[in-house]
Order: sequence, then structure tokens, then C-alpha cells
Amino acid sequence: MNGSLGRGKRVSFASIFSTLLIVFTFFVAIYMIGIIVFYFILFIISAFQLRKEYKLDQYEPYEELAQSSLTRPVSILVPAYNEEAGIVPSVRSLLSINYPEFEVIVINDGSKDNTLKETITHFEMVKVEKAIRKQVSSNEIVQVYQSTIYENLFMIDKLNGGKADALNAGLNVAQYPYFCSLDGDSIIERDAFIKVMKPIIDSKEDIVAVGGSVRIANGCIIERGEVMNVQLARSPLVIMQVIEYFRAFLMGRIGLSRHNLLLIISGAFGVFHRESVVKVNGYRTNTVGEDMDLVVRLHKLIKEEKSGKRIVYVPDPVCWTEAPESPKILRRQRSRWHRGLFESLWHNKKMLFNPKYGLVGMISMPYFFIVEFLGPVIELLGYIIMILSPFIGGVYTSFALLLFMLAIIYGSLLSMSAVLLEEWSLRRYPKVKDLVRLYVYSLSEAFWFRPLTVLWRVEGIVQLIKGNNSWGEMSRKGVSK
Amino acid sequence: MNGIFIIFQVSLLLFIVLNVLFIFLVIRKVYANKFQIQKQHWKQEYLKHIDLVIRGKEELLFPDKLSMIEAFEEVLARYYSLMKGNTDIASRIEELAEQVLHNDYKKKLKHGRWSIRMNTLHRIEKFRMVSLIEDCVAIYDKERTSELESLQILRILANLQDERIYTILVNEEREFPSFYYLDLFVRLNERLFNQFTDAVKDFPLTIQFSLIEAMGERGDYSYIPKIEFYLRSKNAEFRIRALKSLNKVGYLTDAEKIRPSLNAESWQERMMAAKLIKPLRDKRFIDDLLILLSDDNWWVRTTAAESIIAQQNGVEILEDVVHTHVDRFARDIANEWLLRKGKKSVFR
Repeated sequence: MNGSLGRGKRVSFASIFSTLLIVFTFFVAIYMIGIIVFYFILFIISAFQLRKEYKLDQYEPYEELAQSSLTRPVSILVPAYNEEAGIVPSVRSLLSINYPEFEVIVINDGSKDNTLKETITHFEMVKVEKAIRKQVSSNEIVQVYQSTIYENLFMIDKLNGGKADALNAGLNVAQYPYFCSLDGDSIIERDAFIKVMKPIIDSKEDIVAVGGSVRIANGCIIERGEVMNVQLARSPLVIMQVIEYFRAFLMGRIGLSRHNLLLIISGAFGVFHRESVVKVNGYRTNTVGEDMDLVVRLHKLIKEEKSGKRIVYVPDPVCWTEAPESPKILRRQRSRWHRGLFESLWHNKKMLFNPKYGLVGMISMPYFFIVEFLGPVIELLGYIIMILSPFIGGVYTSFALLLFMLAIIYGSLLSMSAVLLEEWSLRRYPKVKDLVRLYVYSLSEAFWFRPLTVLWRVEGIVQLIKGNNSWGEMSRKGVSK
Repeated sequence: MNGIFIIFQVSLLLFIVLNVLFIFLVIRKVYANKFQIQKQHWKQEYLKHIDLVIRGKEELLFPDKLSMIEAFEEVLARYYSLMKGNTDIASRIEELAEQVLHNDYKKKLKHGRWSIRMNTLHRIEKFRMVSLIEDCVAIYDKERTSELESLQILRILANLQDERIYTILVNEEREFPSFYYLDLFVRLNERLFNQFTDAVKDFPLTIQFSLIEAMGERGDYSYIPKIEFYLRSKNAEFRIRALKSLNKVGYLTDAEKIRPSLNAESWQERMMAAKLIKPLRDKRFIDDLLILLSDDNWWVRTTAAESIIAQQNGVEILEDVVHTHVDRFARDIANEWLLRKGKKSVFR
């Protein structure tokens, strides 16, 4: 009697466990199939868009525009914190951009090094009095400087308040109707501004923000602040990030932008309509994801004002940035991005699944919440099942196999498609060898890089739960998105 | 079990398809790179001889391969950009383009891919290829022709002073971004432009606004009465455009006409009116400008201060404001402009 009862209990435990395993497996599998289908839809939209512009002349359409007095002037904001090494060359490369009217505003965010002094001496800057319109709040501005060599170069010296706060101070000083935020360590192609402003001109000015694409500069040959020769870096970690950027920019953003669903404009390169940004009170300072947060709030503004304005992404204007080469910094970057993502969603949670906010509320926000934010947790669950199931044996081995195949499609095949899409349309890497390397590495993604990033992002969630809001050590060099 | 098998098949199929595509793209890349090397070679070749060919001292090596045509085209385009302003050389380049590229472009205008048609239209504009105008006009309102292509065709017509631009625009139902209208009108010669201004009422509002601005852009005093007419319009946008336009010219027949705009409801209008006083240097408006120094809008304040300082005793007036004005905003803006006045806009 006793024995059979005990057996019954064991059986029920085992059956609960196996039921759970089955439920989880199917849950993860359906989730992944859903995402794969979603990505392939985006892939197809992007492919059509990119192909339409295949081999479009990159010079002729902009030649006259670059000299036209009818284009809108742009203020370029460059927040700088402890960047004494890089600030002078990056400002110099900015001053040589091909655009009719612009101003460069460097914002020294209370640097502890010689950023201020370097800039002042190099560009022969002097103090100027400026009545500043305080349209968005920011930490105290100590002094405004202007260069005596370049009349359109200014610098704001302010008390430290973080990148978002620095950008807000810059917004107050900026004079022009559009502004561009730019990381101090990135390199912009000379024609990038003309290209990024063109949609604004073409659209009867109903665009509040334009994002350009960001590419990884590691491995490229750079001279005097200009990318001379595009080459692929040697480090596998960097190559994987290049592929990731293809995936994110070519597949994700073009597809989303097409239907005004874009929620991210990279902090490294984006142009915004100043008045609209002022209307939403500028950048939010208590988040690590200020760029996404701003875009989400701009969408909110658009929907609330019913202005029908748009936020777009242009694949071509390119900004080059340095990607982290060490796993340590990459890990820190990823967990920080993930926290930033959560904060942007959290601060704007009332938009989530809210039909009032149209497709952004019903598709973009849920996408970022379910796919981008919760994705890593579910993927991690998948990996755990994958590892555990074979030990249980029997039918569970095939579960493991199922998830494994899905992970390969999701991790590797999608990345391979992104590499091929790039080669089919933009072809930024001239060497055949680089294409082969990109392809082979993308094949390997599911086996090491993907699981690693999943772990790092889950780590970001853990930090959130523990209430860790730090940036990690302040190392802006190379960790910009 | 079945599901797993299906997914296995799907991923295998995808994998095979991707690899086939990959091999195809690698082969294409190898060929494309070879093509680039050839093209580069021909570019060098043409660069060496283009000058002599244009001056008629040497016979052109007629391009008959694709790599040659593309190389020739690029060299010619760059050379043309450099030679802007030299009409003799420009017309010789145009002749060469007609001679060599005509057939190629004619075909490309009908190409299925948007980017190829667009590139061709840009080149036709650049080389002012009169012989292809008919082909361009023919595709103007085809179903697949995009807005940008249509605009490019209009631009070609404008550059060549072709009268069809008028009939096309009068009958056009689409509305283009205002930047493009202005851009088109600035290109027209006087005769064609007057055809538009004489019939300004026949056009939709956006075009009317652009025409007003274009009259100012041309900097010709004879348009001033026409522009001034709009200062009395009931529509604020007309008044703003007229003020903007007059600002380009920097002059108007009777300054009193702008007085109502200084107290207008929209800040853009107040700013534009305040701005216009700067070139006029008209003492009668100083009191109005002083009032605008305390305007709610920063742009109006700064423009008013700029216009004051440009007056004969402007510096003294602003100094007075700094010391005695009750409004802090007015004092601030006056101070900023006094400091700016020091040395251009930079001072030590």
C-alpha cells in the first residue's frame, strides 16, 4: 500500500516536471518562431527598399544641395566628458563637413581632464556673453566660448550632469531649427549632413527626427578624421558586432522606419527638430537610455498633437564609431543598453498596448518590450532546456533538437541573411575576403556570440532588479551606440 | 515530432538557399572588383586626354564597353563641375555628352530600377542634354515615376528654360515640398518667371508663397511693388512670406507698410518685420523696436536688438536699455548684442 502511494507521488512529481518542460519548450519554440517570422517580414521590407536605391549616385544629387542657400541650418552638439585625447581631431573633422550653414557646439560636461583647455588653446577660443534661452532645464552653465578662427564653433563649459544634461544645455544655446547630437569619439562622413537633411527637405518638413546609420570603424583606415579605406577588423568580437549592426540597422530599422515605427535613433548620429524636442522638455537625465527615451516621447508628442509627423531612418549617411574590443567593456555596454531600454519603456509605459498611440503603441512598444527586453530571458530559458533535456532522454532529446534548430535560424541564419543583404545592396566592404569572413563568422553566431550577449543582457535585468543605475566605470571611449 | 521535422526541413532549405546566394554574391563581387579595376584604368586614361579632347586637339577614344562608358561619364561629370562658369568649355562638354551618352541615357530612362532612372536624370540635368527633353517629359506622369523623378524633370526643364514647365505646373495636382518650388523659380529666366508671377492666382497656395519668396530671391527691384501688395493680405502666411522676401531685397518703397506687422499676432511675422528695419535704418521705428525688446519670444527680442544696433546711434540706445530698462530680458538681449558688436561676432 505504502509503496504504491509513494510511487504515485513520485509519478506525479515527475509528471509535473515533464508537463512544465513541455509547456516551456513549446512556449519558447512558439516565441522564437514568432520572432523569426517577424524578422523575415522586416527583412523583405528592407530588401525592397534597399534594392530600389541600389547604386544610386552618391554625389550628383547632393552636389547642388551642398551649395544651396535654401537648406536648413543645423546645430551640431558634441557632448564631451574627459575627452582631451579625441576632442580636437573630432571637432576639426566636424568643421570640414560639406554643408552650407551649421554651427558646432562642444559641451564640456565638467571634465576632470584638459578637455576645456585643449579646445580653447587649439581653436583660440574666447569668452562670450550669451543671453541663453533656458527652454529645457540643465545644470548650471559656467561660461560660453567662441572660436576666433571659426566663427561657427562654440563651447559651453558647464557643471557635470551627464550626457543627457549636457545635450540639454547645448539645446539652450543652439540657434538653428535642427540640431544633431553626436558622440565626441565618432567620425562623420563629410556628406552625411546633406544626406541626413535631404528627407527633411523632401518631406515638406514634416519630419521631427532622422537617424543615420552607425558603422564600426575598427579596422578601417582613418586619416585626418576621415575614413579613407573600409576594411574589416581582425578581432572576432568586433566582426560579430559589425554583423550585429547590419542586423539592427539594415533589417530592423529600415523595416520599422518604413511604417513610422522606429523607436531608436542612435545617440551617435541623429538629427532632430529643435522645437519638437523642446516641446517634450529635452532629454531625460535620469536614464542611461536617453536617445531611445527621446524618440519614444517624440512619438508620443506626434500622436497627442495628431500632427502626422514622422521619424525616419536613412541607411546611407554614415557615422563611424569605435566598437569595444574587450569582452569586459562589451559586457558592460550590453548590460547598460539593456537597462536603458527598460527605463525608456518604463517611463513611457502608458503607451504600451495603448491603441491611442496607434501602431507605435500596438506594435513598436510591444516589440521592444517582448522581443528586445524579455527576449534574452526567454532565450536563456531555451538554452537551459536545451542543456537539460538530453539528460532526461527520450522525447526530450528531440525538444532540445527543436530549440537548437530554432536558435540557429534565429542566431545564425538571420545574421547570414543580413550580411548577404548588405552585400546585395550597400556593399560598403570592397574586399572579397571581408565578405567571406563576415559570412563565416555570422554562421558561428548562434554558437557563442549570441549566448554571450543573452547572458550580458540578462545581467542588465538582474542589475535593474538590484537597483544598480551606474554607468559602470565612466569610459565613454568606444562604448557609444 | 512532425513539427520538429518541418522546422528541420525549413532550416536546411534556408541554409542551402543562403549558401547559394552567398556563392552568387561572391562571384559577383569578384567580377565587380575586376570591373572596378578596368574602370579605374579607363578613368586614368580619360583623365589624361579629356582636356585635349575638349579643346579639340585630339580625337576622342569612343567608349564602347560598359567600363569605358562609366569611366568616361564620371570623368566628364567631374571635369564639368570644375569648369563651372567657363561657358566655352561647358558647351563643348555638353556636345561630347550628347554625342557619346545620348543612346545610353535614352535606354536608361526606361529602366525598371528607380536608382538608375534617378542617376540618369541627374546626369541629364548636369550635361543640359536638350535632345533628351522629350523623353524626360514623356515619363513625367507615368504611373511608376516617383515624386523625386518628377521634380528632377521639372528642374531639367527649368534649367533649359523650357516653357512646358509652366503648363505642367499649372495642371499638376500633386503638391511638392516648398523648397523645390523655390529652387525651380530661382532657375528660370525673367521671361519665364514673369509668366508665373503674372498668373500667380492660378496656382495653389504653396506655389504662391514660393513665388513671393522667389521674387525676393531674384534681388530685382522691379518686383518690389508686387511683393508689397501681399503685406496687406488677410492671410498671415502671405505677409510673412512677403516680409521674408523683402528682407532678401533689403528695401521697400514705403516703410510704413510694415508697421502693422510689428504688432502682429504671430511671432514669425513680428520677427521678420523687425529684421527688415535693419537694412532700412529707419528712425521712425526705433520705438517699436524698443517695445519688441521685451517680446515674449526670444527670436523677436534678438532680432529687434540686432536691428537697433545697426541704426546710427544704435549702440547708445542699447547701452541706455542695459542701464535703465525695467525688463530683465530686454537688458540681457541688449547686453548680448553690445558685446557681440565688439569685433564682428567674436571679441577678445
